[in-house]
Amino acid sequence: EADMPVAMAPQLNSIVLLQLNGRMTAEEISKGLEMAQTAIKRINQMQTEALKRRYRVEPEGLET
Amino acid sequence: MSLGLEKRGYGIKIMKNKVYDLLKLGKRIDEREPLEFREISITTKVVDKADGSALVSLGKTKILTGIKVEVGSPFPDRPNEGVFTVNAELLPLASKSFEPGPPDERAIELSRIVDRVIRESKAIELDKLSLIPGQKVYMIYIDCYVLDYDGNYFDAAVLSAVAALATMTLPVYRVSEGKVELVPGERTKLPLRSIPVSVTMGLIRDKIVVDPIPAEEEVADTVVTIGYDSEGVISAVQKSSPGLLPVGMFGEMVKIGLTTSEKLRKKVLEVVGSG
Repeated sequence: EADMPVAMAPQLNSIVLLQLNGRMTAEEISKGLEMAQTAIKRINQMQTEALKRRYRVEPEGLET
Repeated sequence: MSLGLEKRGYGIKIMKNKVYDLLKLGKRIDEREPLEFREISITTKVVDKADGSALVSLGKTKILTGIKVEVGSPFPDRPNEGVFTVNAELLPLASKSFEPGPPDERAIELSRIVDRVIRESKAIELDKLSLIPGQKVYMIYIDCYVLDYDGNYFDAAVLSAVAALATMTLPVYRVSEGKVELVPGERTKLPLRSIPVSVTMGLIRDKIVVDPIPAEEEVADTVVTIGYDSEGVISAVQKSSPGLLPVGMFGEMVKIGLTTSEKLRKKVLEVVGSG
């Protein structure tokens, strides 16, 4: 039984915070990190979309 | 920004390049192999008045752990278990950067790491430390003192805490009429089911070094401590410094740490015996 907080910089494929409380085998850690990466990428996507929605500016028509 | 800070920035860059260039040749600045620990010496029962104690030297890093035992109340959600707590202190005499006062971030972090490595490995048989379930249990206070800092107080602290636990004695109590009475003159061993150890590694670009010295800690991209129990299951992980840790490198560290942990455990057992 364990809990493992993970924070990543997804575009750099790097972990920035990692802590394990509990017991896990190397395989479990590997699987856990994979699952964390998938979730983090999804969250990162949602963050980017939210920022785009909020700050999107419709381009004005071109003036000739 | 003062000139001093800029100078230091360049100093770190130059040092990092030097350390890395040597690592590309498989060497470290103190001539160790990348996966080699410094010389370890463990002396137990060094503090007469403590119930357990151990002095560990890891290279020039020195840690003293003392253990005191009392009787107290268990946690309400674990009425049949003894209680242990870890308190680590970075003594001012050990380093220019340690100041007197309440534990700072680093001292708290060290306490937490030592605590987790021991607690999650279930090394101490806490269920054998109950005297009157729900009322009176053994309370084990583990105090780690960093006496001299030359890198990697994490592993040295874990080694000294575990060695102290393995060689300590408990006062014996008799329970009669709902009261706990000390039986003078009798002592018993602490029920310990395994020897947990930790391995601290530094990442310098794409090279991993084990048991970093301060020069390596300063230039490392990051430093990670991993705790292993006797079955090789990981009982703690702490990325204790800022910086990027590529996922693949962490996987490597877990493997390297496992092999090294077995050597460390052997060393502890040599000193404390398996009994």
